[in-house]
Amino acid sequence: MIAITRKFLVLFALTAVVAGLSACAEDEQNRVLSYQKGTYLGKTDQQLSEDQLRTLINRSNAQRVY
Amino acid sequence: MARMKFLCDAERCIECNACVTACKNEHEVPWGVNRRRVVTIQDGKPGERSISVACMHCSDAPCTAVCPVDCFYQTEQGVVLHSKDLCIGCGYCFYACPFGAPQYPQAGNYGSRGKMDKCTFCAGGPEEDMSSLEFQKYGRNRLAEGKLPICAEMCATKALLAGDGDQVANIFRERIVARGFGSGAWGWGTAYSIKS
Repeated sequence: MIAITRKFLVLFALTAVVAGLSACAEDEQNRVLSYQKGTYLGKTDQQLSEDQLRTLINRSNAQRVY
Repeated sequence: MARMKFLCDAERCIECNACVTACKNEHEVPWGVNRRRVVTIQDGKPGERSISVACMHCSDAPCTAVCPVDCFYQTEQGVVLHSKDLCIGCGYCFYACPFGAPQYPQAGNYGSRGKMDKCTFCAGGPEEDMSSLEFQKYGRNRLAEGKLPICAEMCATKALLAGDGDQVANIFRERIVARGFGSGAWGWGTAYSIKS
């Protein structure tokens, strides 16, 4: 009886360990889990297009008239 | 294109706080968080000057250097942004920033302040441009709309300038030449000078 209980406990512990480790999967967590010192690892931002930049430059220049 | 920069002309600022109000309204910033504020020195005395202060998007940003989770990044236009997904609310950036720009939604100790919030130069954050998620986390992305930051665009006296650094510097230079005195743009040296 004790042997069966022990086997059951070992099996349970192994299952718990496997489940715990699988929960560390980055894609399942939906957040950054790794870390590299000095490196931004978050989502990448979209770049502004040439048209958008040209508009911004014109708008910057328009501040001169006041 | 040069880097995006702010410049506050202390000779023109009349402490109307319209930039503060516009910023809060545009980005629906919560109570207790001020991305921009107006500071007055020598209040009520001769030599009184007001300046509008927010994140200056430093070239070599100290907040980026001290962040323990590296949640800061710079866009190609030099705008310093951060990811609220990575931020742990430690408050180190607040202590490092010479302008007191980082703000927190709650008062508390390490890690209990909530995600840091600061001026984004109206450039949103690392979410899809002009998406509802970006607006919810970081506020409106006016740069993607081809507009400059709301604080500068609506400044009645054009004390607060924003945009392409070369052009902003040229506008200020023309004003200084016209005035014939002074040349110090508040915060410019701290934020944009090359540090040895």
